[in-house]
Amino acid sequence: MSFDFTALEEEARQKIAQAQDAALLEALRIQYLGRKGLLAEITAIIPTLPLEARPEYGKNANLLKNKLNQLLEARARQIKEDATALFEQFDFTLPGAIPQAGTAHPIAQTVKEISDIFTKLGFVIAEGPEVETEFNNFTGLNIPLDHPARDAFDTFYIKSPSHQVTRSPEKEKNRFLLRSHTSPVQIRVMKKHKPPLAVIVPGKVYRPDAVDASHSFMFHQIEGFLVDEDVKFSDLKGILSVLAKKLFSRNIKMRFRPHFFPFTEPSAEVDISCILCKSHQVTKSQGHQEKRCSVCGGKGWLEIMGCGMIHPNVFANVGYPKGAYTGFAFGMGVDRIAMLKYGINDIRLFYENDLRFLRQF
Amino acid sequence: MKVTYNWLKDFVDITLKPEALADKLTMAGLEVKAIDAFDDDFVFEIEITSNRPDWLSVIGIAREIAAITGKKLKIAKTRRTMDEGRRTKDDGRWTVTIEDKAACPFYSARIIRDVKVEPSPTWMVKRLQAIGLRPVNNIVDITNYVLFTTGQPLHAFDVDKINSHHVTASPRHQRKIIVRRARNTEEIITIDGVIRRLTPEILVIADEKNPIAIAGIMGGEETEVHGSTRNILLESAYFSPLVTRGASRLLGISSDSSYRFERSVDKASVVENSDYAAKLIITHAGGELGELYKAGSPKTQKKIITFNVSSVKRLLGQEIALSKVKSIFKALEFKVAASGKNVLKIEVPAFRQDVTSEIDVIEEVCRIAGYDTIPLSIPAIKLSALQEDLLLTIQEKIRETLMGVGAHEVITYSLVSEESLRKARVSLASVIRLQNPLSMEQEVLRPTLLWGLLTSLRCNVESGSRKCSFFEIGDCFNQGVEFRALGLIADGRELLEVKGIVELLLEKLGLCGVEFFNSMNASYKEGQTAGIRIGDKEIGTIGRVKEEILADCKIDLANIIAAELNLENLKPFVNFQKIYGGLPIYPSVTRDISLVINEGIVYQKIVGAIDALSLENLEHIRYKGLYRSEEIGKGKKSLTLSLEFRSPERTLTDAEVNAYLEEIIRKLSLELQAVIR
Ligand SMILES: [Zn+2]
Repeated sequence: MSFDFTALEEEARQKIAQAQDAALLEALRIQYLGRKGLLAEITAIIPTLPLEARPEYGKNANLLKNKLNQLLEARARQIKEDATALFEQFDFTLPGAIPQAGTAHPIAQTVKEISDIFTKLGFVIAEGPEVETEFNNFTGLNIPLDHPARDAFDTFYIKSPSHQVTRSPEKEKNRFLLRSHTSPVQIRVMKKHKPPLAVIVPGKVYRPDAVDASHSFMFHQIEGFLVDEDVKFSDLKGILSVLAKKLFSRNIKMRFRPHFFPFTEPSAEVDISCILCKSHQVTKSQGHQEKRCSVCGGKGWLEIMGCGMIHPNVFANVGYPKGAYTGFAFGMGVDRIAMLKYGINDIRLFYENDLRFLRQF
Repeated sequence: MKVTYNWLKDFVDITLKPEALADKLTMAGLEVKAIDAFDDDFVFEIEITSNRPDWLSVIGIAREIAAITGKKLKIAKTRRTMDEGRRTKDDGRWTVTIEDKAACPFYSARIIRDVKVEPSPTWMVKRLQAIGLRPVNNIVDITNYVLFTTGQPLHAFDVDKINSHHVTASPRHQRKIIVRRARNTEEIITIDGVIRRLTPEILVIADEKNPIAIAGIMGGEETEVHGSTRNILLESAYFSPLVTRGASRLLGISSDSSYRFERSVDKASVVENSDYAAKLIITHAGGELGELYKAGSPKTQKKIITFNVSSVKRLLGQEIALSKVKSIFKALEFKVAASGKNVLKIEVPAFRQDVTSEIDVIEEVCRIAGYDTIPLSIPAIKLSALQEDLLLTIQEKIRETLMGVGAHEVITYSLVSEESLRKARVSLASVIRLQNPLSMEQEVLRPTLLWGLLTSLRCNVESGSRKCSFFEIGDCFNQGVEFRALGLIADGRELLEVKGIVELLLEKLGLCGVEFFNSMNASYKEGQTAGIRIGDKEIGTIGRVKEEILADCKIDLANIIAAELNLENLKPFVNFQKIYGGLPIYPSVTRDISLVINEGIVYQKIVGAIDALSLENLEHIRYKGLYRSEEIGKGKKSLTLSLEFRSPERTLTDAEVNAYLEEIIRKLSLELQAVIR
């Protein structure tokens, strides 16, 4: 038995050229080069050939094998190219058509984020009116009559006393004002309800400050308070550290500095470690200064809220029996927290409502 | 309050470096805002809380440092009480009279004769400069130095200028210092050279005729100590915080002196501190100590507080040992006596006016022991008796829905100008105004959200954002009522589209029986605005904003649609309960019909007429379009409806649906003269 190598090559060339897809081509490869294919047959007869014919025969067989491989590979490439030419390729580098989605105001988002942390702990949200009585805003909160905060320099008063602004029918026989903090809601809630109370109060507050990058006559606060038979300062520290870790980061450091507020005692201001520079050293003012951190001014700490144990006089003012309850309260500026969290450097941006700003949150 | 490191060291041994000391002070409630090097000293800028006037002095801060670092306070060595003094010249006796004991319970005046007014010693000049004061002369500088050291404001008068405007009749003439209210017509030129008009709200120090100083605030120019002054009268007194603050605000003067009187000085140490100054004057300006005149009483009530030490643990969650408690109070110069097991009697020193009850005592323990000694705990939070207001859920639902339709939430100022409301054609008749607005820009409490929404729109038009919708949820104020409202404004949406958004919103809130009725509203275009109501409760407004308003607001747009809802009014109708209604089994059949009707017939009338037939298998009536043309004729319009029929029991046949249609057409042509096209 012998083979006509030239004829075989010519036949294979034609068949390979006609193969229209990768599967047919694979079948041809098996037919020629497979374990039981043509080339296997060709080499199988080598032992039957006369010795002197074998080298020539073997060389030709090898040439054919190489040639077939070449043809198959070339055709495979061709098939692949043809296939891609058949479809229109989608250009995924084009930008997607983003739908016009709405946005929640960054202040509202921050309020929600903080409220959610507390409602998960079992706190209930309460709101109060922005037009308040002098009693709820000051007297009830143990702020004495001669306290400077009551001055017209620090609180907006409502003009006509004949226009008594009320949301609820309860009326106070005193001046009306725009609440200067959310704390009057403590008085409203405690007057109406007995402990246990775990309440979180978001809302707008007003102070006669001229508007600049860090001041606004209207801003937002979140107030929280917990009153029960046995609430301790250590609970206040525990709850607020949960807040700081959830709101900022797990690694945040926190410190409680003694402070003074008329409606809490002991009172504290709460600092967190600076979220930008993360250094914790006190200002070094000697000699030449390295560039001071723009967020904390180089102090390493950021004041974020005030808090304390509710003053016994406040409990007395809402009619709770003496010594029956203890509780803590805390309050923070939402605008300030949002500014720190998002790195916003101008409070006015919140109230201009430029979409190029709003869309970033 | 500024103090220097070395100044503090006069009164307490400090081994801490300035930074470490600053940290300790901060953690004890004296927040150090900055430390600045000054020559060989360090200046601490400390924020003093309003409850601690005793900290407005070097000694007060030194006392705190002694308590927190366990060192001894060195006051006695530095200050010494002076004797009565002598009268060396027969220049007349003085009388000091207080007319208003409430405004000034105690007044002292020390005469010092033959002083030599000259520049102060260098060390004193340096300290005063370090805390930002301008040195004047030794007498004035010493009064300032003692003010900052002790917290007691002092004033030195040139004795020979008092009563100078009338010739002393006899050498034994009674010379008078009167502490009284100013009279309405009185004036004084203060040391800053300004003529001050006085009123009876202002307390003055006067001689027989005229005011010579504004009590506790600023002295008069006429009796000021200057280079040729020889004899001085050194005033040390207690002026009422309220009266001082009132006068300070009225006159617009705030001084280091008024700042301290406003917060209350230590009445018990008024004379002691005067003596300290007198001693310094004699040391540095020579002269002879003269007599001391007093009026009123420096007595304060002794305060003893019973303190059950176990209440510390109850309130703080951390026990503090009795011995530690005792040492804290001793360091703070309180007197402590045991009074039964775990009970102490604590006598409060006169300079600690802030401590009046047990809670104040607990705070001191906590503060000096350090807030960082209190552990962290998580309390068991019980269910509160208070229930959340439905308004909160309503707001969340609204926010979610409106964001879903691509609207952006805004927050605008609740205080607006009258002018802006006029521009927005909002009535000013029953608005609520501020008594003390910062400016005319923020005079009125907003009665509507419309103005704020317009300003948001304008800001974005200016910055190039078009075809945007904005909404705000916030309180409005009108007719003596504060109410929560929703406002929505849309650029690039048709009236029906915005109405659709409102309808979607109302549906999400589970409101039934909502009705839109044509109405008039000054802010909206005539014929293009409607009220929204449920039953007879009005819950809102919708309409096309008047073009004049857009022009007045400089908004370069036309076709702006706005809607406002009163959330308080719709709250009672809100229903979030949902019940699954099943899915239809049989297919429906939909037929469109086009009717030519008279202009005056509104859509609701057609639907009402069809509904009146009560066709049991008519599932939906849908609006498809409205069309006017010449061909149809003037005063006519063509309305296309889509009617969907479905039976819950079987597939409806063509014949059945045709019968329904015929019935509908018959009714509409009969009752409303509708013509099928
Ligand atoms: Zn920093």
